[in-house]
Amino acid sequence: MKIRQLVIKEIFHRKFSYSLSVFATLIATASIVGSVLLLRMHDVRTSSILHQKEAELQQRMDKLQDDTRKSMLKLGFNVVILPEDLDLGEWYSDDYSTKYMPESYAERLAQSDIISVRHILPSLQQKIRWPERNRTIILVGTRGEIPTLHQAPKQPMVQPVPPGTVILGYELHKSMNIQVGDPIKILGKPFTVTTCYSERGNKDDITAWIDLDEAQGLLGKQGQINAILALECLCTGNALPVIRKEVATILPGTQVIERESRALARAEARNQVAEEAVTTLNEEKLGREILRNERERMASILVPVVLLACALWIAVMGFINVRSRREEIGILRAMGVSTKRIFMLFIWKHISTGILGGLCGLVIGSTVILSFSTPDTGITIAAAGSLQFWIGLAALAVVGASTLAVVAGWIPAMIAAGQDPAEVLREE
Amino acid sequence: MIRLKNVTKKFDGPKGKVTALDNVSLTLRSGELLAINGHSGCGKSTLLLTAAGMLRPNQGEVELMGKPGIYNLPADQRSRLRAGFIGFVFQQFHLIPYLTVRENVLTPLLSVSKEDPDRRVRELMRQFGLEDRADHTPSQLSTGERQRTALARALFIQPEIIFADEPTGNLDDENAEIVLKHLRDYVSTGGSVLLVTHNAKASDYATRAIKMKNGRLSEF
Repeated sequence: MKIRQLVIKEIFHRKFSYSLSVFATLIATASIVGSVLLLRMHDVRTSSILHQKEAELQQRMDKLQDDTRKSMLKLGFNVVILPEDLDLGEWYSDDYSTKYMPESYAERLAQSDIISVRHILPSLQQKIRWPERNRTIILVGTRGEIPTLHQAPKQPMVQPVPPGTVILGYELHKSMNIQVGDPIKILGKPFTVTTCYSERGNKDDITAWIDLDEAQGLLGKQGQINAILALECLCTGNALPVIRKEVATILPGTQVIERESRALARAEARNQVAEEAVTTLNEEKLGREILRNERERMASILVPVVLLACALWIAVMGFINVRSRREEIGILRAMGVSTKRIFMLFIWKHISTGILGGLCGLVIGSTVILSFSTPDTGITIAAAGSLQFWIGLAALAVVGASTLAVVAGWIPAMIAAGQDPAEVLREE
Repeated sequence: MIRLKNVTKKFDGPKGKVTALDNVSLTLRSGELLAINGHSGCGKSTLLLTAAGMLRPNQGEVELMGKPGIYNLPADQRSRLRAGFIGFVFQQFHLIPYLTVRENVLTPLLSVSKEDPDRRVRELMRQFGLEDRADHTPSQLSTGERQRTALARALFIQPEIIFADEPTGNLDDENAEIVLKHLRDYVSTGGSVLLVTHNAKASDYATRAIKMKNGRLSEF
C-alpha cells in the first residue's frame, strides 16, 4: 500500500467533492488561460490589421511613386546644372546661361556614382539672330545623353542630332513653311532639316537643335557647354538638397536648379497622401493599444477575484475533506503513519486536483476563446501562437493550477497532519 | 513490554478537572493477555491510549518496549515505535471505508515495510476466514467480518503488543468469542494484549484481569 494508491482510491470514493475542487481549479485556470489568450489574439489581430494596412500603404506608395516617375519622364528633364557664377535672374529672363563650363563636366558626372539624377544631357544653347531668315531663335547644340556607367541602361529620352542636320520647332518651320528634307543655312552653315516638331506651346517652338560640336563651332565655344540637363530620380519632392549635395562633390563650381513644378506638386501631393496614411496607421495602432490596455486592466481585476474565489472554494473543500476523514487520519496516526505522510496524503490530492483542473481549464478556456473569436477574426489555433507558445501556456496552466490548489489546500493539510490521534479515537 | 508507574491523567471538564487515571501503576509482560474491566467512563480507553504512547499523562512514567519515559521521545519516534511493534483493535473497527479488506489489512505498509506482504495477507485472510471477502469494502461486510479485518490489520506487522479497546463491544456473542479466541491464540505465540472492555466474559480468555473504577485499578 502506497500513499499514491490511497490518494487515488480516496479520489474515486469521494468523486463528487473531488470534482467540485477540480471544477474550481478549472474555472481559475480557464480564466487565466482565457485572459492570456484573449490578449494574445488581440495582439495577433492587431499585427494582422497593421500588416495589412502597411502593405496597402506600401502598394499605394509604390503606385504613386511609379506614377510620379512616369509623369516626370513625360515632362522631360527637370534638373538643370548651370555654372556657379551665373546670375539666375539672367537664366530666368533669357532662358539660357551666359556663363559656360567645360563639356567634360557632363562626362565626369556620368562616370560618377551619382544616384539622384540620370539621363545626363550636355547642352549649349544661346539666343541668336538667324541672319538668313531675319528671326530670333534659340540655337541648341546637343550630342545626346551620356550613358551612366554604374546604372542599368535606360532608353534615352532624346536622340542625338546627327552632324549636318537640324531639328526645328513648330513656330520656325510653320511660319517659314520649311519641310523635312529642306536644306537651310544657319549662321552660314548648311543643314538639312530632319525633324519638324509639332506645337509644344513653349520656347521649344522657336528652337533649332543641331549637333553639339557644330553649335560650339558656330558660337565660338569649342569644348564648352552652358547647361547639363538631367532627370531627377529620387522622386520624393524634396530631393533637390540631395541632388545639390551630390553634384557639388562631383562638379564643384556649378549650381543646380529644379524646374517643372507640376511634377513637384504631384510628388508633394503623394507625400501628403503618405503622411495621411501614416497618421491613419498610427491612429489605428493607438486605438488597438487603448483597447488592449482596457482588456488588460479588466483581466487584471477579474482574474485575481476569480483566483481568490476559487482558492477559497478549494480550501473549503479541503477542510470538508479533512473533517470527513478524521477517523481515517486518527487510525493511520495510531498505526504510526508520520505527520509528514499524512500531510503528503492531502497535498498529493491537491496536486492531482491542480493538474487535472489545469489541463481541463487549458482545453476549455482555449476552446471558448477560440470558438468565440475565430469566426470574427479568422485566427486559428495555429495562427494564435506557435507550438512553443502553446507548450508555455500548458505549462503555465498546469503549474499555476497545481500551485493554486496546493496553496489553497495547505492549511487543511496542516490541520490533518496536526490532528491528535488520541483525541480522535477517544471521541469516536 | 509495558510499565506504567503512578500515572495520572486529568481532562478539563465543564465543572473543572476530571481525573481519568488516578495514580495508576501497571505492568504487561510478554505472553500475557491482560483484561481491564470497567464501566463506560471509568478511564479504560484513556489508560490504553496513554500506555500506547498517544496520550501524555499529567504525572507518572510510561515505559513501552523497554523504552522508559516514552513521552520524552519526539512524536515521530513514538510513531515509529507504534508502527513497528504495536497493533490496534477498536470497538468501531476504524477501517478505511474506500479500501477493500485486503487493502485495509495492508495499510500498515504506509508506515513500515514488510517482506512478502502478499503472502502475509493471504495467511491472515485464511486465518480469519476472509478469503471470500478480500475484495469487499467494509460497508459490504458484517460487523464480525469487519472486526476480523481490523484484527488481521493489527496482526499484519506481527506486533509485540496489541491494544484492544472494546473489540467485542459491537459484536454478538458468537463473533465476540471468535475475536477473543484469536487474541488468545496470538498471546500463545508470545504476543501481549492489553484488552480494555466492559464485557465480563472477556476475562475468561485473559491470563490476568484487572478491574477499573473511577480511574483506579484493582486486581480481581
